[in-house]
Amino acid sequence: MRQVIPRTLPLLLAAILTVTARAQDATSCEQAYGRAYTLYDQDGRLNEAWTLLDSLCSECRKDKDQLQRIVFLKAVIEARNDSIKAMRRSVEQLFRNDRGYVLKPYDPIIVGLPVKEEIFTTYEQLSGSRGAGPGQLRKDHGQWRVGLHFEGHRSDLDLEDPPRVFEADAPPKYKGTLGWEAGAHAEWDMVPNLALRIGAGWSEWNLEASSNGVRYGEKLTFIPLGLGVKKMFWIKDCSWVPYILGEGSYMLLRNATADIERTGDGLRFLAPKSVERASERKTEQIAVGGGLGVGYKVGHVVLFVEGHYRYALDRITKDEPTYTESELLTNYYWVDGKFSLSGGGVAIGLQYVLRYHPNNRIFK
Amino acid sequence: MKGARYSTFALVCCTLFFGACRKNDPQEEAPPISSYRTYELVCAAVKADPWGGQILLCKGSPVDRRTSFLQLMSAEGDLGPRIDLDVLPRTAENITFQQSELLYTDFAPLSDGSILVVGIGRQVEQEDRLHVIVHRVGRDGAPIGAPFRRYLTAGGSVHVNIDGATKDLDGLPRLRALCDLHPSGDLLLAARWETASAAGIRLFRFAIGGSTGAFAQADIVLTAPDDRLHALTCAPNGRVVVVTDAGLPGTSHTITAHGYQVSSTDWIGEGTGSLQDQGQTIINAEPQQMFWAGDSFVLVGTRPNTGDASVSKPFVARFGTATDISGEIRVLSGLSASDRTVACYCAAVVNGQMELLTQAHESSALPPFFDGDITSDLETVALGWPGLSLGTTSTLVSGQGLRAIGLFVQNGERVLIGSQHPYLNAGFIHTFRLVLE
Repeated sequence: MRQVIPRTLPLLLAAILTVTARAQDATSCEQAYGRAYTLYDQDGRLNEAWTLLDSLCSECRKDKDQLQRIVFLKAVIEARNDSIKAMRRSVEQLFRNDRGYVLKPYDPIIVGLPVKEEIFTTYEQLSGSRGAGPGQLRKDHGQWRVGLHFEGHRSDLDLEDPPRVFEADAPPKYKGTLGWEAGAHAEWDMVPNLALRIGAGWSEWNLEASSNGVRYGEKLTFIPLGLGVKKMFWIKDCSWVPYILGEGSYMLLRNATADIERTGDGLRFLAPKSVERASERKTEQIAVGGGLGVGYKVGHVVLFVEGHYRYALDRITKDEPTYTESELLTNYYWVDGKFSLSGGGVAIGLQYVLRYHPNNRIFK
Repeated sequence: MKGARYSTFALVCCTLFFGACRKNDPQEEAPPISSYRTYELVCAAVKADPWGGQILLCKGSPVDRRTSFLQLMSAEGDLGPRIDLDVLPRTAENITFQQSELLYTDFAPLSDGSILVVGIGRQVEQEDRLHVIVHRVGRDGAPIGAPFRRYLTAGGSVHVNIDGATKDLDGLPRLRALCDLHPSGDLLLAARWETASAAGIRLFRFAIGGSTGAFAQADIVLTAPDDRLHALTCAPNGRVVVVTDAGLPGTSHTITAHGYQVSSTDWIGEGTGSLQDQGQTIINAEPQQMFWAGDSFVLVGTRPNTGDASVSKPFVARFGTATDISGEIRVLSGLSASDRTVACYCAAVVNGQMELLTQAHESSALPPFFDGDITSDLETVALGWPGLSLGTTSTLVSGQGLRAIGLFVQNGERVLIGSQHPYLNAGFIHTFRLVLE
């Protein structure tokens, strides 16, 4: 107990001081706003009031309601000074401060002003209304997003000289077949429109090989862990947001299930066989890749579709044939060729916006 | 500041996530096999090709009683030309044999690339006379010179194998001719003949490259009509050992080694020796291979285990002369479980130690053990050299019924040629080539 008190005391003091300082900041901002409002309302000293409000815009950002009052009064002064462009920027800033900002036409500050219509019209043009149309504002895709995706892909094998076991067999022909991946991911905008993506999932890759005597298929399942960078491009008057993606994947092999059968020549005792071959595969894969996609926001949800290609940096097969699967070898006459497992596919998914940028960005 | 905090957080998360998911690579001990290939061949015998690779004496199918062709195999395991034995001339020195009465049972590759093919021919139209016959063929199968023959006996019979322990492993008749090359380059040949009442072995020395006359010949009298000829090996010093059965009353037999020095005019006997273990004659042993290993002959095979004759275990005998065949013998009774037969079909001296290729059969396997067994283990057994002390045993291929026929050292690698029953089908036989690191 004696030891706990000395350790926790500085923390408590620091917390109390922090809260006190914030309270003081809020109080001083409120007082400064009061002074500015007095200068505006009672003294008619618009320029001095605007100067004070402009300085408060950068100082009083912690309280959204307080900042809203400051910026709104600043916009009113700019309208009264006939600075329409400045007023418009201030109204935009109101939306950055609060993406759901609503301007009431009967707000006491503007209800009696001749510039009321000017301010309100600007508001409606930006936010959209029945009279003004869809509005010129667009909300971005947020700063933090989490999502789910499903991907269909086709394996692309880089094969080296497939060996033959049985001299009567033709060299086997390998080909990648369709597989899938399902996963979850999170994206974080490091800077606006440049996001870091991290994801994990469950992935299935398939391949086939066949010759005149043997048919071989293998299903490899991985836990893919991905890390990527996504750059979005906003196009004027387009609701779809294209993006490019660069990513690296670490893929942890879970299973490699092979199905094999020999065909023809009356081999009635040799039934098709299924065998687990993960021990004859490298358990880890590193892949790099890139892709193109497009996103579309509906409410707080971003729908996307993207195509990408992953290039495996190493072979999935071990460097030398291991010959550990003796039944596959001596009964089915099968030994693996060396190959790497790359592939491309198309993914669809959705993301939920967890958090928007502190300054909600507006695009025209 | 806040962005930097998020970056650090993300980096730590990634590191922890990736690090936690790493899995140790299971280091499964793989057998030291660097290549495995199989061929649609029914191999009965294999010898090293002086030009590289091996030459295989093959049957046309597992049920055939005759060999059908010689198959050349390159050092890389690729199949080369096939020499069809049935198209060789059937007329030798004015006697024409029916194709079905010609049994080619051995061959000797020569350093010039040609191959001597030896066999037995039966003259069915005249007293069933048996003749030994020798062809010389090129690597393309074309005859080189005319074949020649020597008379063996009249009333000969080309008996098929009898069932049981004396049945030939490869399904070939026990009527056979085996050959080796003398250091002078001459052909040494042992031909087993058999009639309804007697059997024997006639030994020949043929001068190769000049005269086709047999200028040295001798006979071995077999005590029982079904006694077999197992091996003929000539050492670089000109000493020759011939291994045969020696029948006992009933169906049992012992193993006898006959020693010779072969001059240009005669086979000079050096005495015989019986295969014994600790002073006891070994009954019903099955010799499989004999070869010269530097300074001594080595005979490997299988013998019934002491106490349980239904189970066999390998033996290795190392000797300098036939009379000393049992001077240094090792019976590997402790290999595998006591109720499992372990057969040894070939061996070689590799890197200063004797390496045996053994086949550990299931307890249900019966002689001849390879026949139909698709579940035996192919193993290697190392023995000290020259002391034959037991070393390490390791399994190459487990549970697949592979039988080794020949082991060769080639470019620093061990090349193993053998037979197997493919596709879980005991009626099929394929040949495999397995390279050990």
